[in-house]
Amino acid sequence: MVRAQDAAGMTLTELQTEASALVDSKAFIEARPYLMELVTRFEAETGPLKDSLESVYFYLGVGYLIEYSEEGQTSYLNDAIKWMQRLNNEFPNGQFAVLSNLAMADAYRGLQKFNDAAKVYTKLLSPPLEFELKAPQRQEALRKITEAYYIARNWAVGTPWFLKYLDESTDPDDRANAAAALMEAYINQDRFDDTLKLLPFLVGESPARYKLQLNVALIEAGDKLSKAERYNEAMLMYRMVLTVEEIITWQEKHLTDLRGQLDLLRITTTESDRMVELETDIFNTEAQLKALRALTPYTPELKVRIARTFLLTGRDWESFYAYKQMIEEYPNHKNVEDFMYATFTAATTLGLTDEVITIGEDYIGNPGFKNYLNDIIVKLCQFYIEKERYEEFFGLAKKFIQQNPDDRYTSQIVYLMGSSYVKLERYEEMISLFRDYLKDYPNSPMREGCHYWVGLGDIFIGDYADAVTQFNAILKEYAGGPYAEDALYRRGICFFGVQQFDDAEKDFLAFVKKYPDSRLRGEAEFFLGDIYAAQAKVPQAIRHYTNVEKYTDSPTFIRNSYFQKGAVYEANSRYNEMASNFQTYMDKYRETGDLTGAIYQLGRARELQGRPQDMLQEYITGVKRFGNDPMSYGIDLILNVYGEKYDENRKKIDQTLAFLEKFKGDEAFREQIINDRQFLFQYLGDNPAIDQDIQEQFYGKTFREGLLEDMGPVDTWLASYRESDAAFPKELPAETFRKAYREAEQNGENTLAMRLAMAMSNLGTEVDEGKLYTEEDLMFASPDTLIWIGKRTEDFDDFLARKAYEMVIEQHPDSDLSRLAAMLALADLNQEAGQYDEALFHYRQAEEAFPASADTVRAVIGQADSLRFKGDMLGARDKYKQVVGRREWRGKPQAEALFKSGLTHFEKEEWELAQGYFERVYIGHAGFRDWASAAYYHSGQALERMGKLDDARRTYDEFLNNESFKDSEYYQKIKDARSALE
Amino acid sequence: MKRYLTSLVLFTLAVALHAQDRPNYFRQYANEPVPITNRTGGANNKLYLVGEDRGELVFRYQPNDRQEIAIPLDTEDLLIVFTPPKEYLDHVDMIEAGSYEKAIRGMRPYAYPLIKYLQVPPTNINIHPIVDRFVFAQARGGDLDEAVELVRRLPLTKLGPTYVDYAFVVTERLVEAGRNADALAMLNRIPLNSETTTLLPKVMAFANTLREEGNVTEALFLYQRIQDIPDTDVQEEAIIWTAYCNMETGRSETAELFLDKAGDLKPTQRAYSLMKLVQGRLAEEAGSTIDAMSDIAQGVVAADIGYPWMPELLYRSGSLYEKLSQPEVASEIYGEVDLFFASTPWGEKSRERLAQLNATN
Repeated sequence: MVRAQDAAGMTLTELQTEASALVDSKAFIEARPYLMELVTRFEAETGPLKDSLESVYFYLGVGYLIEYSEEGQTSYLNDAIKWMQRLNNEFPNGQFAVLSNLAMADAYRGLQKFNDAAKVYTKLLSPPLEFELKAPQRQEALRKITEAYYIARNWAVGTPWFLKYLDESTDPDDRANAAAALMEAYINQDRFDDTLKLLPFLVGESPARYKLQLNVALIEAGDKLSKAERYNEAMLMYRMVLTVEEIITWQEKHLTDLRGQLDLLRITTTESDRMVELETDIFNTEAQLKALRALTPYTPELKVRIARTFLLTGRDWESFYAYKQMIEEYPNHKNVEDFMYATFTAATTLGLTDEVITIGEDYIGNPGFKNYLNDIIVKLCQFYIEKERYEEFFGLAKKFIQQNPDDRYTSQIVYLMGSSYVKLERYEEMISLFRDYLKDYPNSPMREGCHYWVGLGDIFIGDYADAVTQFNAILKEYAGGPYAEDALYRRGICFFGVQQFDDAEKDFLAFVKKYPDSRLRGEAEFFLGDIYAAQAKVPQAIRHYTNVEKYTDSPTFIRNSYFQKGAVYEANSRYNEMASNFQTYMDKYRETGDLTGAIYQLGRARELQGRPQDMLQEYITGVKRFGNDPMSYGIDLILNVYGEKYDENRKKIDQTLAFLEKFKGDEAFREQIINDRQFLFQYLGDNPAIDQDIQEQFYGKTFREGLLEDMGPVDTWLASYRESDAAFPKELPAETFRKAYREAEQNGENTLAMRLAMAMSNLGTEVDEGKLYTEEDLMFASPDTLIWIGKRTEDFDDFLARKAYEMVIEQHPDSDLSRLAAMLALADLNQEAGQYDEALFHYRQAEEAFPASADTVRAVIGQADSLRFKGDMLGARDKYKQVVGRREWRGKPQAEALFKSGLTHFEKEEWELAQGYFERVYIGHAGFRDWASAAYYHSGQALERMGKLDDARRTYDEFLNNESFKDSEYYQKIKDARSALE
Repeated sequence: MKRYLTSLVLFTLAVALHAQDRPNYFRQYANEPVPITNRTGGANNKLYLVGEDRGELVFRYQPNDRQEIAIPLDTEDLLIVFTPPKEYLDHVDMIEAGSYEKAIRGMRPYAYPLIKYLQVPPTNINIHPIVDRFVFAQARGGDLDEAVELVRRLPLTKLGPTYVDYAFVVTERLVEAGRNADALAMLNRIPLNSETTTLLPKVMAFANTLREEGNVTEALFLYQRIQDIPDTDVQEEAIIWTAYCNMETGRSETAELFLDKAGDLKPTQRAYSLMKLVQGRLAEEAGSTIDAMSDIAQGVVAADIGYPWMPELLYRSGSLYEKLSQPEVASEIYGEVDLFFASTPWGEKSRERLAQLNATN
């Protein structure tokens, strides 16, 4: 190291040469003693000698900067500043003015004096120095003044520079840096609209985004906007924020990249400026990383804000997943319960049933969660129901009620339980449970619901009296409650069900008055119509039936109101109104109504009007119009009655006309009819089809005798019947159907053609005799036609028959009785084929689908038979017992069931038990000779097996002595059995 | 035959004429003898390096002297010293100052002849910093065609990652100049392997540009190259982009296969939201709006605003909300796309949808 005194001893030339050589080789530190000596010698000078000090000052300053970069002592920076300031003072517009200011600003930055650094850059970016700056220098100055004010958070002074930096930059990273600084300035000034405009500059993976300070500012901006309910804008701010983890990851990569660049630079260049810059960057990045790692991350709070803002901006899907992610990422967060509830709520809004159930179960499975427990349980219940997971639902619901009987949510739970029990038809269980609740929880809010559902359950099991009691409780104790409206209506139904029409009338009238806009109003009007009809209060009945369609959209109630009104008109011989009623219905409900049913009724009205030809015309028109639609089930009924009605009316016209003609033209006959009552009865008995009204008139002696004076009535009838005779179709039904069939075939109306073929077959006339139907035909057939085809083909094409029946069941769910017939036919086929399990299935299906139909008894007996054939005698007996226990199945079905119950014991050689059943049959049901005969025989056989031969003989004799059994198939068998006991 | 010959002649002429359009500096300078000092084993003799042949360096005593001597590359203490002209330091300064063209002009005569010795280790010859600065300057700011030609001549697979980086800088300049085909050709020469992983984000960005501009097949090619490099940060992303491109070209089933290949990703992984975008689009294509919405929403939640697929992800979210009859939400999202990504195709689509929604209301 050269000492100052060495330099002092040099000549000026030596001094200058040595200093220049060191400066040229960039050995600024080593040059310092020589430079200092030059300062000492020239500082008092003026002119060129003094001027030569400008570069000396500069290199002295640079030397201290380099020394600082090597040793890190900030005192060197102060020294550097001192020399640069001296240069600036003495040579403000000299050739080193720009460079010295840039160096001085760097020194201030190194001292963390950012406002001072910024002032230097301001000087550089202002005239006159501004004009000396090269483009890269200007860019650098702008970048650094922005950085300085940004670090100093001097927004007020910095903002114009930030704007200038943004405006003048073209590099995306520069623009992003400018925008980031400007954005923070705006946020601090609450200039959110301006802030938002800057967001696009930061989109992309710009380094500017990875400043912690900016991200914190964005969160604050989001919070302020959120507070002002500007959620969409708040969301934009939050979306820009990077998590601490993301910033750390990026900074780590950035650090690796910087180190890589530095290594590369060390290989390829000896230039130190860029290396110093990189070293500074590395130092700063390491410092940032250290600070970031020490920071408590704001990530969860940010994510909560985002999730919440998604929710507030209606982005339910994102909200759901954002909250869900919170639960997964932060299971131990202090607010995890809130996250779960938010996720649960979003899932319910979105109808994500599986998610609702999973989260709900997780929530209620955590004993520490209480805040939303009740709400979650209620909703979870709803979703269990939706998923038809009833057992889990009932379990949860019962547990909830048991634990919180007085909670306000119990009423909702009871509602869900009640509606589920009803849907599942588990009435007894529901009644029993809710009765217990009523008993056990006298203060619970659910009591009203319990009364209601018990009452409703009572209705389903036919206990109207108790139902009334339950509804009374509601109407008395909870008159303003949610169930009151329904309870009043249901009580009316109960009274109606037990034919307490006065009470029913009172309830329905009160209902209509109190709840005029109720959705049940139309139904109440209908029942009022029924009540008045039952009491023969015709005008009231008509009025209420007419009201139905004003208050309901239900096609069923509207249809029934019209049909019932028609029945009232009919019962009161108001046939014109009856006809016009059905005509109106057909006109008004052309699209949705039961048109074929209405045609049938309209035909009946025409017949009753004395216009049977019009009836037949209505029918055949209806058949042609709707017959090709397999879903118009009423057509099958019309086709069935067409022939009957034709014959009936033909006979009526013929016999009435013959009678009247003879009465009019044959004097002897007339006298005999008038005077000989016995003859009259005999004649009418032989001609029962004569018009009933005319017959009734003739029963009166006064009327008959009056005819001797005045034949007017007869003439009138005669004229009318002659007219009917002339108008009545001459063509027989079979011919009418045949023509229609050909027409349908020509038109490709397959369904109609098959229906007509069936109708003709039912009349005993086959069309296209021997035609074999195929699977393809089945596609077009109506339910009745399918059954008809099934029956025709059972003997030779079991597969097609089954297919036909199955199609009725699967494709015509609303065809009611046809469906029942198909189920029974299918079951019978299986039974005959020895496929008892399949038979059992179909019989059971029939019983469940049609519990109240007259033919259901066949399904029950069929099940019992299947079980018996399978050897399950206990099961079989239960089903036979079911038949015996039903009042509406009294008569032949019960005789059969009792006999077959006997068989279940007979086949097990339980003779005494069997004999008991057989005896009950022939004693209690002797009128049903088939079953009584079989019972006599089997009873005798059982007695014989028991060794009671006398009793057996007595039984056989009793049968053989009864003349009415002479034709029985058992007669010969019993006679033989009796002979064997001689 | 004559016709064929004529065509061939015409073609050769055309190539020659085209080549004459610009000077071929490589041809001009590359074979010039290089004056060096041989200091192998303590020697100190001035020679001219004229080439490398079958593991030996070939020298002449004088440039035009026909007599040649050869020193095997595996000679112990092999040390060849090249002294650059005194202007070299000025040229380096020019490069530092960004005056690339000026520096290149000066360096061409002495730098081009050195290039063919790049594979000789720096311990044996000191030319590397000089060539490095020259290639650096060419890559950054020289005439683009000259730079392309220079890089084309570099044995990139045998050089270190630095030169691969320069080659990529030239590729980027080609992309900026809109010369995508040339860029792709250049990129095909660049070795992408575990040693060049730092380049992958840039290659990915280029592939993204190609895809966004509708060059899906070319993009697909690049994505497949990237995904073949094991254990990189962008491997999953490349696999999913491959799925995306297959979906775009109507091969949904293949797309599904690539999604399977990507495996189960977690929401915290960058590629997760891209996967959700593809899954959502496939679900929508299959007619399931709810499944699509579910996937896209998961993607939106997991994605950062800076991800390249964010514009489409947001746009799809808006369009699904529209499908689910929530036009107000859709409008907000379209507005967001327009604000953040106005210059992208998704920004344009969003503006169209916004206009339509506004017209409807």
